[in-house]
Amino acid sequence: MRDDGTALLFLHIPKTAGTSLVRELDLHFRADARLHLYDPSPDSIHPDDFPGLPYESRARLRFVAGHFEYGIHELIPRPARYITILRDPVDRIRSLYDHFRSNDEPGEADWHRWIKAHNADLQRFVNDQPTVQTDNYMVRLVSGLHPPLGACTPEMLAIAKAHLDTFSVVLIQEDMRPGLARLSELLEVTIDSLRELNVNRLRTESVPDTTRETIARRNSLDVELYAHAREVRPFG
Amino acid sequence: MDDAWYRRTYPDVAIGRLSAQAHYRRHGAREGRDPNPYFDTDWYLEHNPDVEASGMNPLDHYYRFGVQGGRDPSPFFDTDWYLLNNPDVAAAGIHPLLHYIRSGREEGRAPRRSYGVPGSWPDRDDSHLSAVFSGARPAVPLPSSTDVATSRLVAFLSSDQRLTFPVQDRPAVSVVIPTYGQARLSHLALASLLETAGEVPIEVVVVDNASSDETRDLLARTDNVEVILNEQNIGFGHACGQGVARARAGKVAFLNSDTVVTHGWLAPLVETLDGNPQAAAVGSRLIHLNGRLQEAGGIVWRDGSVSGYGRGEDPLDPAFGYVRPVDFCSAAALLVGRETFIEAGGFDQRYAPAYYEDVDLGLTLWHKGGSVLYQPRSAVFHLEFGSSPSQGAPRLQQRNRERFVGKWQTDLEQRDEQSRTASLRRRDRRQGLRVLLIDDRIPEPSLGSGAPRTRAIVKILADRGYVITFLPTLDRLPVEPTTGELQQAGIEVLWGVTDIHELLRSRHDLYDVAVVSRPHNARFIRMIKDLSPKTRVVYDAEAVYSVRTALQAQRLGGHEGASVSDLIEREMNLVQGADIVVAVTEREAGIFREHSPSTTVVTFGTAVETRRSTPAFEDRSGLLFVGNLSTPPNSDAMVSFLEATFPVVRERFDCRLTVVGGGASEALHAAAGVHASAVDFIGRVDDLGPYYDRARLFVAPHRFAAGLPLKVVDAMANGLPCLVSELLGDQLDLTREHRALAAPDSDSFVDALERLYSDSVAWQQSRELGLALVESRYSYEAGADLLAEVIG
Repeated sequence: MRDDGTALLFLHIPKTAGTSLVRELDLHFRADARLHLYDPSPDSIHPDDFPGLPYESRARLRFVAGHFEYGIHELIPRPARYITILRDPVDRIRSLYDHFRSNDEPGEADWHRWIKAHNADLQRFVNDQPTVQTDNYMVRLVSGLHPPLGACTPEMLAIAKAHLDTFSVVLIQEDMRPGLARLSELLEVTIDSLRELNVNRLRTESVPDTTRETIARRNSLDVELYAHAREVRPFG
Repeated sequence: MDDAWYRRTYPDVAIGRLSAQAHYRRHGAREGRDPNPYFDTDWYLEHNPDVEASGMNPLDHYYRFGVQGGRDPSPFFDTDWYLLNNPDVAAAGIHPLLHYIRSGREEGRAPRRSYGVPGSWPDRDDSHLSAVFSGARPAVPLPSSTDVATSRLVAFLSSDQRLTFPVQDRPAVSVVIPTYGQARLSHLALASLLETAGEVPIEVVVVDNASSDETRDLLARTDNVEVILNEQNIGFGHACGQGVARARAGKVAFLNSDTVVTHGWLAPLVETLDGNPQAAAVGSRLIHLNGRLQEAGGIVWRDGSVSGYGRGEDPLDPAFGYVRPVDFCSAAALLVGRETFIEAGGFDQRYAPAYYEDVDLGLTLWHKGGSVLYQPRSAVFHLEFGSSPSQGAPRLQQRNRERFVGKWQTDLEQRDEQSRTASLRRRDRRQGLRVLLIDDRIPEPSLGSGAPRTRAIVKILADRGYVITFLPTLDRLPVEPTTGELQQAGIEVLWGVTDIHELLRSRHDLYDVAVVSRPHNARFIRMIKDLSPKTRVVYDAEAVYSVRTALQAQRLGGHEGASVSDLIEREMNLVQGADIVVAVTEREAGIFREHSPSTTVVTFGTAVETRRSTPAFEDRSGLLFVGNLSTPPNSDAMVSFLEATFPVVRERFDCRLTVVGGGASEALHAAAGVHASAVDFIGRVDDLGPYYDRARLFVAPHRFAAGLPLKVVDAMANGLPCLVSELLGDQLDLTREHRALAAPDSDSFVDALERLYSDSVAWQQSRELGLALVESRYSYEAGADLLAEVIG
């Protein structure tokens, strides 16, 4: 692998096949040079805890993956490159819903309980929006801004687009191959396919049009960001 | 805590019987005083409001908790960065700032990253910081103040030391130093010159303009220095003329007496003057004592005012890192041919005693048909506090400006008013079209993936006189030696740019033409069109990526995303705004023409020079494959060849396979199977020449790819016969006469390999066929003409 002294930052938007990519990329970085920022576990720390990490840990990083926002590069004392995967917002939120109702692990337990308690279908999940993850979450993470539910603005979208322009590789979940080829070239490693990981046990097969419309309306900024990425970054 | 520094810095403080440390704890911190030169109390509190709120002594806080929190003691010391770059310090558990103060500084370790860090340069002088921030190595330690310089001079004069320069019978350069007072700085200039005297054979000529300080004592303590002592101050220009008259070398380097040269300062000036027949003078990158850039060449404006390009900026910013012709360079460090200087009339005496002589010389040299070049590899510190203007200076400057305007009125009328935008235009005197090239990476040929072609384009455009800025979208740091080679060829290489929109905005309308390569960078086409409507945009399609993706899907399956036609449509839409599309093959040009009939589409494959004198058949052995193995087309080609073809080849005849290219996966190594001992994985190499000369055959068994197989063209150009798959044969647009170069399937591939490998006549025919193909389609001259037509 080509090591040019930079750090690779994978801004992992939930339910975009990112887990599979993380596992693949992990293979190419030494254990003490990589870090996962997810819910606390033996394998990762919470993104909020990253700034307090000892300098030794932050300084030696070459690969950071997790559900963090744009801006984390400010905390890494070396030149850095971002990559991310975007996904169709409707499918992403459907997958998120399936994920929550399939999992009662610590990170998901609140939403799992909420879905159970309200016997919520996807439509209700989207209507009630129990989490910001259903409110333009792609734009939130890529812009690095996190207003309250329902308070995302077109300015955030513009910021997200501008940030996305600085990303070294942008993958599209529905069509990963061009982005993977570009990522391979960037790192000088071979990544020609990904194993499917973190796949939901339960799967909502069809999404009614009204639900699709609701998701799209409530995530209109994500819809636009995704369309923008598909338009300008179809090859990564 | 630095007691001596504290007492020296705060003489107003009535420390009395208190130690400096105690004073700082009780009063100093609250009063915003600093405990040492490296800890900025106010800055620390401002950036760490929690410490301010806690009421804790900031220095205590930093030493106890600051390191763990990644906090910095001042803008000039980066705690994290220091530990990252000094693992021995991290491993030993030593406090990084203490380590720096106690030993790191003396060992030349940097206190923070020295490039790409905007703003926040030290206001307080610290010579060591200046050196590391600027990336230049002063030949003697820089003084942090005039007092330090004075004390060094006093120490020198109090000792029995002498400044003994080596005797040079045939010096290459005469270094002329005019002096007028400021002996403490002249001492440093001479001492630094002495330290570098072994690098280029020099003689030193000092012309003293009746200094009344210790200058003459200093000069009396030099050996093998030509000294001219004037009885009165005859002015800068006249003194320089006296020095030149005494000079024995063919080249003269003017050096101000308030400079400190760096290691390696003179050789690049000499090489540049020797290597550019038109060059009449070459100037250095001048760095101020505080580490900021003082001048990267000078600009003359319409009203006769002048400015140093880049003044106050980061000296390591790549914008100041390339060779360029400029209006003038400061005579603080300027190399000029002795005869050239004399023929130009020397420094014009109308400006005596000082100011505008070097500006005038620059324009004079240009008007006589010469050029003045800025050479960033030559760095010289200019201790401006040594030449701070006297009370009469502004009046003299104004007077000389008027004289300058009177002399150069016609020239000045052609010039711009001073502005930031105009600075970008006028920093470089070249008249060629300004071209911005945007691609993924600094074109290091060994990268593959189109980089050799990009390098060829850059070379062609530079040779044809275009003024080039190369913007690599992925490189955050310079890649050497390629970056340096390009910069020395006059190409601006803007590595480290992350916000390309901002760069394009700040340089809007600067470029006549922008060339954007590869579809993932095509988003910049629209950006350029929006920000800079006058700029003509060329899309350089290194390959049609959708074609490759489609072929890959056919071979490997798993293409569950957009349809191929969708992908092609998107790729074509991406480049809609381009005024011209450059395709690499006629086949791909056809795709662009079909989707965008109104766009001008031309074909430029690549440009290479052939090498016919290479080893003969019997002096070669083995097969060669070259390619970036991290890319799917190359890795698939090699895996399938190793699994299916190479075993059959080995059954037929004995040969080895050499695989050159980075990114080989474990799967690829495993694919060699039982034949692994006959396969050499070399990795990426800088020079393919020896591999081309040793191998008997070049193989390119690709099953999917797009664009032009540059590696094949390169191998053929180097006289190495090639055998390619049918697909690559199509991409090369091979005709019937070239059929020996390609094989339609695996079986015929093996047959052809055996024939070419064992039959010297067939081998020679194939070699000639390849060379003729390259010469007819990819010659450097033809490519250069075509590109010149495209760019305009």
